[in-house]
Amino acid sequence: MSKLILTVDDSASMRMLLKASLTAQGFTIESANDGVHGLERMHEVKPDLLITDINMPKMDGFELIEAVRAVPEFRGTPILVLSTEFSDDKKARARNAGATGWITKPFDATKLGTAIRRVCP
Amino acid sequence: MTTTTDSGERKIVTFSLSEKTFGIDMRALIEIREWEEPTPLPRVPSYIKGVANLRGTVIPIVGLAERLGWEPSVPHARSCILVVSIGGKQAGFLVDEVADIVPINDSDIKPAPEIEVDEKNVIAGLVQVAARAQENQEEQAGTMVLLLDLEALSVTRQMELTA
Amino acid sequence: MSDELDEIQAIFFEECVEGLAAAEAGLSAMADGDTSAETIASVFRAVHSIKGGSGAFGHAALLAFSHRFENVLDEVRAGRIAASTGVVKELLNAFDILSDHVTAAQEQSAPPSDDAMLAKLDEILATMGASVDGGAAPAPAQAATQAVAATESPAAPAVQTEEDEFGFTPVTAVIEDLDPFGFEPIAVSLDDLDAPVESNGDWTVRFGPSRDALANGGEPILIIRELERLGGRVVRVDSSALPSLREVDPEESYFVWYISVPGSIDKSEINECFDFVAPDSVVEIERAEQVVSGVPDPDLDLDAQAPEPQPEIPVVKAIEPPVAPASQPPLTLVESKPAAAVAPSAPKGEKGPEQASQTIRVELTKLDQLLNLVGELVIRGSILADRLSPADQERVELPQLSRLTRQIQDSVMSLRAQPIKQAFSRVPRMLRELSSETGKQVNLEVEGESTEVDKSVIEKIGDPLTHMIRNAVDHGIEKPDERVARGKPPCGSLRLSAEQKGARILVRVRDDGRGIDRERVRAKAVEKGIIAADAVLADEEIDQLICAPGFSTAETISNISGRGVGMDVVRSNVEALGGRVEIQSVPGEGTTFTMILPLTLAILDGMVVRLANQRFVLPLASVVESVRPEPGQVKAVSPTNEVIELRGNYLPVRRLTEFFGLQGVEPYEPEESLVIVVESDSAGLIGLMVDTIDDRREVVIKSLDQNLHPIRGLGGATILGDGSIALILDVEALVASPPPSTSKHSLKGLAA
Repeated sequence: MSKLILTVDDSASMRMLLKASLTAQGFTIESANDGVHGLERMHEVKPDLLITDINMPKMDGFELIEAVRAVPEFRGTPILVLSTEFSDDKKARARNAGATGWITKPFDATKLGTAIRRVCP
Repeated sequence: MTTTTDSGERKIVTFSLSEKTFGIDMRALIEIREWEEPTPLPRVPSYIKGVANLRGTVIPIVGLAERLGWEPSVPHARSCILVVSIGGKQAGFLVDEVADIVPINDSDIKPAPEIEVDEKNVIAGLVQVAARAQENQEEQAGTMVLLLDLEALSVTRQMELTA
Repeated sequence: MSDELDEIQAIFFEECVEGLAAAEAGLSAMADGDTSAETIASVFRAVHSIKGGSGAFGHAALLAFSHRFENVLDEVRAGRIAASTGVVKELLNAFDILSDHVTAAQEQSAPPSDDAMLAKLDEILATMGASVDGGAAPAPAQAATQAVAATESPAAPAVQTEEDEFGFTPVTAVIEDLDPFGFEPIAVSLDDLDAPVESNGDWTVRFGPSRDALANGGEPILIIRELERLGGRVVRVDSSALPSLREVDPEESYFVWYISVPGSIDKSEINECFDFVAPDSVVEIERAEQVVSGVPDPDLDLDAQAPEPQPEIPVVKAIEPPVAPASQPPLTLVESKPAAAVAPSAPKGEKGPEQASQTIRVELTKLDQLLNLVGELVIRGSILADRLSPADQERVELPQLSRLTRQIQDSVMSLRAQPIKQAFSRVPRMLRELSSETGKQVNLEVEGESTEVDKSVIEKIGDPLTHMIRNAVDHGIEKPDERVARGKPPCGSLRLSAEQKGARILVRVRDDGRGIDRERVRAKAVEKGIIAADAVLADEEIDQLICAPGFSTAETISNISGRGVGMDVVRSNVEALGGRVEIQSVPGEGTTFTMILPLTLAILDGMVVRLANQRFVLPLASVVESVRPEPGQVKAVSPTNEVIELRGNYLPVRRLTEFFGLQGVEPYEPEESLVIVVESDSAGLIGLMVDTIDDRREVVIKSLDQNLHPIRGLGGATILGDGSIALILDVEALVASPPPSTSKHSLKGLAA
């Protein structure tokens, strides 16, 4: 069964790029354009995996991860961060917030697929 | 005959104007309409007879005879407007009568003859077509058709030149 | 697929434009002293997004530059670099280069030269901004060395070099090879490059996930499966730590796996499997036999430990959550203004970042189609109304239908309306460039940028606006010393404003420069044969000459405005839109250019009038009243000029049939006609003589230049209920043009 992934990114082109490259690899993609919307969509679509950007207007990625983890239902949902940032303190913050993994943009589609299978049963 | 389009073959629409036969490339033709008095425009050259409503689009109507520097043709029962598209712009040409649609070969087109038009370049060439069997039988040899260069007749182009 | 990629890329570039606008707005606000956390964050986020997309689409130069720019912004955001005047100025400069990079990436042209700017950014990073802050007195030598050092080791973001202590090794690789949809070739080439000599022993992997490895949605079994996909197999599981069932904590991890992975697999691939494993897990990878390891490829440092053939140390080290990474302590004291920048506290004033409303992108052609359909609906509506008996027309359904149609029309129009800000957004940068080219200082004031106009108008005023501004800076505003000598402040002022006035939009460019040099303009016009040497012209007429075709004083004055086009292009562009250009100039005090444009190019509330039995439409917005003249109320004051007396005032009257040269009936007496008093921006109140008024209705404007060309005096055409065409009168052009009998004496090119 196709895995359902929710991608949260404020950039439309990034969302489309993710959707195109992941759909090509057999994933089903839903997307949201900021943290607030992302949290809403989490409840609506209950994805197998959440991929989120960090720098977003309104609720940023860290806040989103914390908010998602605060929902018991989503405690076990894997969350990958996809960001152009790569500083260690950001990564640590993400892990503390509840992220499962961190992928640095720009991403390679194949490797992203591999990374997804690494966290997504 | 209907669908064959060899590399050099194309269709032209022939029509009469001041007792001469002209042709334009079929591909430029959008439709043929009955003559209807257009809405006159102020401050335009006299060969622009006005504008007409072509399914919601406003198109200029050009008196082709005047455009070629001849006496204006007087609209009559068989007068038609050939609506053509020239470089994406639409225009209607008032002609005396539409004759036929005939296939021609590019190789049959001969250089333009000396005829009495103000601008030579509006005539793209001369081509001989077989006369229609059912009428005009007197000319078995066929008719000489003056092919018009629509680009050269574009109303917007003319404006640019005179502006 | 590549079409899809192109499409996504096109959207990325649209986002770049939006991002640049946001960044510029933020930087401008910072320059004006707003260094609130929100403002700085908005700039950071904009640049960050551009960087993110540029990498994804393989724009290496844009990526490299935006990365360095972002680094500086990050420091500013964190308050480590103060948003001082000097720093913000450099950020604005960097912004300009960034815009150029975006343009270059979009046009696939050569990227701009950015070495100097990069060096400057590095210098700012190295000195924490002190290098560009005059007041802070950094040790210049030290700063310079730092800058050089930083330049020599460019922080290329493409390849991650650091080993990640937190279990988050980036999976990214060399971006030049990036094919966002591809399934190749990096993994393969890694194999090829690193393929060790045959007969390597198999790897033995020991994996003991920690408790944390099961948190955050982690699932160790997936890692084992991934190793299995690489050809690995589990040789042993150490379950000795497993307690009795009663004591089992479902969130604890008890097993240690031993997995054998074929020696042909590169170690980096095995390492990657553990990318997301929690930091305190046990991960050991060793060769079963010690054999020669593959030669590490220096470009690929995904595998930082490849050269070591030694027994493995855990790739993932157990550590506590991080201390801040080794960030450089500031070398010099930060300038003493940073409070606002450092404290992510309340923003100054109420202007927070604009709420990003949810949007969808619609192709403009679809909107146009919708607009056309609504236009047809309006026309059909009036046909229907025409066919109904007067009694039926009064029935409630028809007005309701009209109102609904009207609402749909308004909605469609509002879809196309955009704030004029979009056209104004490139002005600040243009001014910065003009300032540096000319050495003139210009302060920009913008007003009314939220005024909404139809998108087609915005698209078309860009060029005229650019030219008007260039003209103002080049010809209008003086150099600082000259200004001072004239008793003006050294910095010139340029005021850009937009306002809606009735159905028109007024866009003004006002400078406080020297004004139009009328003597010079006149001389030039004579020289160019535009006017006769003995022509007598009013000041306003001379001013208008700069818009005459073929007139350009530019080449003799500088090369900025003179790019082969002059103000005549401005005028023709604006007139093609159904607008016009006005010029007001006061010598020594400045010049104002005003573009007067229709609000929309689509729909008009009009009055249908008859002239020589032909129907015309007058825009209702200009109509003040209609008068049926009493005998003697209209008087000739000259053979060609008539006036109407109205409540003691005399207004000029134009006979439109004559104006258009319509061969109507015999010239009639004014008493048989109607005089419609219209108000024009240029000539005030003026009477237009028409035969009669038909009715009042909304009309859909069809442009004449779609298939023909614009005709002076006409704003377009429309299709009436019966399918016939009525021409729309352009009141401004009608009143501005002299009557036809005198037009021969008018300025060549102005009345044509």
